[in-house]
Amino acid sequence: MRVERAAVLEVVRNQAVSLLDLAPEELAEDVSFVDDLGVDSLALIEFAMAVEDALGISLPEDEIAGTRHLGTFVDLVAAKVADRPSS
Amino acid sequence: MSLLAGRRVVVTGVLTESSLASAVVRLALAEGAEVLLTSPVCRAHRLTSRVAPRLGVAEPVLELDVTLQQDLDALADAVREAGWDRVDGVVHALGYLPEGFDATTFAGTPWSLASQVFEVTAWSLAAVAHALDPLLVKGSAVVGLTQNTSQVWGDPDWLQVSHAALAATARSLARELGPRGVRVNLVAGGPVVTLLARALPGHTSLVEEYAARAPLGWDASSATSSEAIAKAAVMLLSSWFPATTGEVVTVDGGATAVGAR
Repeated sequence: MRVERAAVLEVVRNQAVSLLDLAPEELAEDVSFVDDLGVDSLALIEFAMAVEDALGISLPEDEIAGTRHLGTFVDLVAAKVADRPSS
Repeated sequence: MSLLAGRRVVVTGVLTESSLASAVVRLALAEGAEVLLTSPVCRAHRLTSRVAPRLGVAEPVLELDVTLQQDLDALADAVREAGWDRVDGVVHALGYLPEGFDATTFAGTPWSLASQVFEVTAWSLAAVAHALDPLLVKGSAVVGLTQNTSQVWGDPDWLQVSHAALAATARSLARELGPRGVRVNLVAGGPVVTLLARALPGHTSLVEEYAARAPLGWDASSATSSEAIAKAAVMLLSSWFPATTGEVVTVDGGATAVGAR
């Protein structure tokens, strides 16, 4: 079954709230992890791994490093979800 | 060939799947080793615990913050509680550069900051070896991961200085542990691109410099480079370097063996 981008966004936001200690209202798609939210590299990796575990995908670190904003991160995750064999 | 069959290896420094220590763990497991990971409690421990099953390492991840004496004091017992009565190998892959570290003020760095870098990067080699000393046996090997320190690369920083101190620490430790048949060596790898390394000042220019110099080539973003460093570490953990201690084995495609092009 194909997972909609909105569903991916929901998962990503939930993980960001629980792991990065952020409020849901802070998580607009155009916010920058580093510049706006003060997320450092370790926190970003932990967050990305939690999203990987939640959705059964793999996010290469160089691709994670290329996503500065929440929206582009969601795009990356949605693309990986779409590529899952079961999708 | 199983270089590490039956050998029990404690590995520090696994944070992400791209950590150099993770490359060592993968290869050590493939060569027959049993592996225990250590990580400081808090966020790093959560990361290591997430990575451990991906690498095929069983729980528990032992709690070890090398700046906490109580963690060092408890390490040997924690290894025993995990069911090991000896440790055949120790991998030291620790380094620390505080976030926001300003590389442009090398001489102005306060001791409070420089000492933290030294403590985690260099002193901890001796501290971890001492903590595990009751479990080390004849033939055990301590292997640290380091970088070239024969000259300053890019802007000076206290991490480079501490890596030079790490080599000196390894030699001193080799002298102390040698009579018991325990070896201590380092692998000085070329730069490898990880998410954490990207944050280091001057990393990109370092990557380009190594690629330009290395007669064998050095691709910092290739898994082959991490594997090359891991292979050297696994060889030093094995019984195939029985008469080598206090040494630094360089794995960088030859980049530091030659001058600028």
